[in-house]
Amino acid sequence: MSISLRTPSPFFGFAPIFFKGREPAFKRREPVIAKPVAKPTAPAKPAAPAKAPARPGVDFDKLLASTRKAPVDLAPIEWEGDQGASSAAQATPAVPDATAGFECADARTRRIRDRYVSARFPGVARAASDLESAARVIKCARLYFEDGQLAAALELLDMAIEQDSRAEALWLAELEILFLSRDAARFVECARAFRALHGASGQWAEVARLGHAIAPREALFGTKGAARAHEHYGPWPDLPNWIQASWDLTSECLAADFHRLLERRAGEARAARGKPQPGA
Amino acid sequence: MKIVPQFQRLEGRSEFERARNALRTLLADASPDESFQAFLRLESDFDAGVVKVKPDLLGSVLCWKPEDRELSAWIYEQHRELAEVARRAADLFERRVGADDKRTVRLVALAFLHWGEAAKWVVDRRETYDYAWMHWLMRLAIDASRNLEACELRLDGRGRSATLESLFFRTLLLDRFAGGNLTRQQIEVLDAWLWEWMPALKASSTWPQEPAFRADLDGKGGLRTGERRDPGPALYLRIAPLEARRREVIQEFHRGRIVPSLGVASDFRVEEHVAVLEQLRAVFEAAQGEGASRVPRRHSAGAPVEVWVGLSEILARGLNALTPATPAHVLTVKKGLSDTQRIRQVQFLDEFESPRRFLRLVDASDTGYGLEASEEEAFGIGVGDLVGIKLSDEQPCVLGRVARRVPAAYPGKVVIGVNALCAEPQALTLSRTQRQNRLDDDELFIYVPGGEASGAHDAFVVHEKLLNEPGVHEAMIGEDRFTLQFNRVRGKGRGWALAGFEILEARRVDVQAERAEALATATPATPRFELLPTDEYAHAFDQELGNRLL
Repeated sequence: MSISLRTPSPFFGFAPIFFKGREPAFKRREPVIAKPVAKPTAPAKPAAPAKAPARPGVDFDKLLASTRKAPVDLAPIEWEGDQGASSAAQATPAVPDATAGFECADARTRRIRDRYVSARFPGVARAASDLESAARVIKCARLYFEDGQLAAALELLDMAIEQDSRAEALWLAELEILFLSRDAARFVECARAFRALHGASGQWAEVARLGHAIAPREALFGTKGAARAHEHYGPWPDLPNWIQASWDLTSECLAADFHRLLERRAGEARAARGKPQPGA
Repeated sequence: MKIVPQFQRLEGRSEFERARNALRTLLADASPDESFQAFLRLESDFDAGVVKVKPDLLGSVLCWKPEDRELSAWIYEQHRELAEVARRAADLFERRVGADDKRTVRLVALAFLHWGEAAKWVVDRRETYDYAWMHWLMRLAIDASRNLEACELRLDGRGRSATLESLFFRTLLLDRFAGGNLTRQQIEVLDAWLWEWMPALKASSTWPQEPAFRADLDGKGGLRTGERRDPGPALYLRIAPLEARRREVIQEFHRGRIVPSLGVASDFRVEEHVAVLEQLRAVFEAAQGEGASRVPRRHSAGAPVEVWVGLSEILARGLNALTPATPAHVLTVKKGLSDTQRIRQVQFLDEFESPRRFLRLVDASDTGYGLEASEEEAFGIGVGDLVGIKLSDEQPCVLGRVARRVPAAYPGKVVIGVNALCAEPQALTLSRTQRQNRLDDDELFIYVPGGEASGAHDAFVVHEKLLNEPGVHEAMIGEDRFTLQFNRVRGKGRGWALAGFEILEARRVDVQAERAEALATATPATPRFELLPTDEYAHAFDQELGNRLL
């Protein structure tokens, strides 16, 4: 049996009864886990960021505003012992906080999402907040695409769009990758969602031009426009380069040099062994 | 109050086995109702006992202790035995009360359930499953038009409902994925999803003209892909609905929710779930190209090959790059090790050296290798490990990733499947451009050349920790200094990653001049102590007095 300073000592063999009636000062907050949505009908493009459902008696705007405040420097609090804590607890009885469950569930879902991002995109992002940099996400998606990992590229962009659906660049990069992968159905779906959210975008004409090429019968893209000059210009000919591929090929040339030098070094090692290349 | 069996204890297990044997004899003599009720009671007791030990057995990512292995093997045996008893009972009931009787249907469902559970608990030698009885029972249910009837079952302490058809495919899918590619936790995650996907496990008796799994009902085998060419009976399971369900799971993760939210699997790490998602994607995609033939394999006579496990061991022994060619100016600023530590490392190196590991090569192909080993030899090798293999003295060390580990045909042996990563890796020292005066400022990595001369598919095998602090590195090749940055992960395993990179800059340097400059500006080097082969070793404890003399 472990004994601490707070363990009531027996009094002539009887347990001191005055300890028994004490109520716990604080009530434990159990996390409320949101139930999964039953059968989502389609992988719907996240339109506007979903607003939390209004709950009676909870002012969400006020709560959200309070979280945006900068933390205040607090003076250190002196511990006054259990006496002070219990008396304080008695003075202000624990009020059931209606928002506690919501906050716990929100923190849990955020944590799971972060872990998922970290496990799914190693080396790219360690948490969902890392997806807030559109330029970085687009570059990583392009690299995934170049490596033949199309699903990872699209999922990365999807998650970044879920994070910030107002970032037009993310939508456009996804459209271009879908175009390059020749996925007409998904391109049309993505273009429709983009149109709904960014109706006034100046890039729509370009989206429609790609749409005409990949899904010529789709009414969403209107009538086909005339051919333009300089269409075959850029790192990906005929494309707007929303995936931000570099125009400068120096890096590619250096990579070829690097490869060649190390291949030569391997050849020298092979020659030193005096044997032919393995598998040859 | 119901007493839960204690399977952790030997007595609890023996008691259950006695009850199971009694039930087996009861089947022949007792009335159908009596034997049916007895089976349900025994099955319920077994589930209650397993539920109690399951979280402890599956919850830990650590290796099992011998008693854990023993318990897992016992659970596997009991599931097999219960499935067999249920199969025999269903066979008897079909003759006595008919195939369309509710009790017969329930017994068929229980046989499927326990065959499926057994597939998850294999720890030792895995027998080649003979699914002839399972296919026979399925045909029985189809003939009686009861294959779509929902059955109430209990598993892991939870009531569940499933049709015979979906239970049939659950078992075959679990068998398909229990080939050593998934860990025990990952298999549990997969099963949790399969229960959620039960409505999608619908069969058709005709070829659906799209990618599908297939079960030949007059055969003995498990799940195959594609259309059956001969006119025999077959059931097809379309892959598209399964892929749709997989995407739904991904969507739930995007929302920050684990599927399912209840059960043992919901407590596992998210990484386990992601691994299963990847494995499912790979299998579903492979099933799309059913016409693609498998890469031909060359069987080997089991010649012993030396195997190294992990990045450090491969670098040190496989690529003989134990002491990197560190420039002199680097040595002067390296202050991580004290002299005492350095001497200790030199003097006691052998003490910490692990013994060499030789496994037998049983087959090889252009894409990988099959190795056989005893449990002791293969200790510590798991799916996802990086391995180096020395196939012969004439060839360099080849690099691979462990893709599967399964018990071999002989007891106490395991077969390790390795995916080939590179036939000619090279050790290369990379130095941080922004030095932090740490030991890993200059570190050896494995360069993995890609298949293209452009270098676009080249990569380095790096420690996983490097992903968390990516920086810019430099590599010296001859007189050229390349500045490079890791920018993507092409593959990942236990503790390592295959990182792609981009070259930021390259310049030619005068090595001699640079070294002279470094020596001129460097602080006086600390004396280095090294033991030569001619040095005499003094026994460290020669001068001590024994306890008895004190």
